[in-house]
Amino acid sequence: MLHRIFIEPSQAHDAWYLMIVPMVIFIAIGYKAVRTKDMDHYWREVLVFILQVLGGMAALALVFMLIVNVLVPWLAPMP
Amino acid sequence: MPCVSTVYAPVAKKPVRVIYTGPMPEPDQPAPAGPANTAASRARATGEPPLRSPDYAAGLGAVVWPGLGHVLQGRRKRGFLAMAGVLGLFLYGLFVGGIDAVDSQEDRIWFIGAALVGPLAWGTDWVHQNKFKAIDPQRNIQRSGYPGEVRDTDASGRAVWRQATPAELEAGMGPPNAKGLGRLNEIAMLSIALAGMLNFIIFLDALIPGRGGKDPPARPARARAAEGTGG
Repeated sequence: MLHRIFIEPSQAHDAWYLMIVPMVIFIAIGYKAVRTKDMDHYWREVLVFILQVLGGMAALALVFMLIVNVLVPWLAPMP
Repeated sequence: MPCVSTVYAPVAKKPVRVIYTGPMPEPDQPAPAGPANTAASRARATGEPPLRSPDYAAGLGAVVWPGLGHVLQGRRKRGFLAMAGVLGLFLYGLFVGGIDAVDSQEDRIWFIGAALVGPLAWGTDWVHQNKFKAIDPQRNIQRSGYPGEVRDTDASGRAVWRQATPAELEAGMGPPNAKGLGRLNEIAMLSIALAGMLNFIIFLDALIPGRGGKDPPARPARARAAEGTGG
């Protein structure tokens, strides 16, 4: 299947939520390349950016999980 | 009265003498603002060459290829890293969603973002529209192929879809690509649109350098004097 790479869609449907990780890494590399003042601190800023975004997304996931699994059943219990 | 100072310039890597013609700063006051304290001082502080603003040649280079504008300005490290970010996002989108993730006809809104990547995205879309899609003979529209169809040409030379024969199916023939579906297709199109938006930021930074963020605050004259670099 290697010759079909970039032509056929990936079939990793069960791991769709992991697809954010490479995306955030590439965004951090490109964004910090033009926003970092001192390039000596570039990779540290990239790492901080990645951790901030992934941490924020994980926190959002946790909050929504609590809303859906705890808060909503508590407010409107199913008969 | 002019004041002659010896300062350490990161670009030159050796002490250089500068002549400051303004009033002597008070020890607690920040360094004076002015032309000598903006572009040139920024260039010294970052170790990068002085930049023009706007730089139309760099802007044009950034349109042609992600990061090329920065490379033309001599900011090679920034340029290649920006290139890696944009191309990484673009190729990652193609990896996840296949070539179907770049489609100016069926996903026009997403393509507005993708188009900001530049000729790379436009070329990918051209290949998708002309080498992977074909005309549906019944509805007379251009679309991707369905399973069990093969790409063929009609009497007028147009690429059209037709049902594959059992022998062709036996040989494993079918449409040249499959359509992306579900969340993976959304993630792929999002990644490519983000590549375009990121490239737009990089283009602006090449065209109008120095607009991003604030410079670090100037150190008080007392601190500079303590290091032997003040006036």
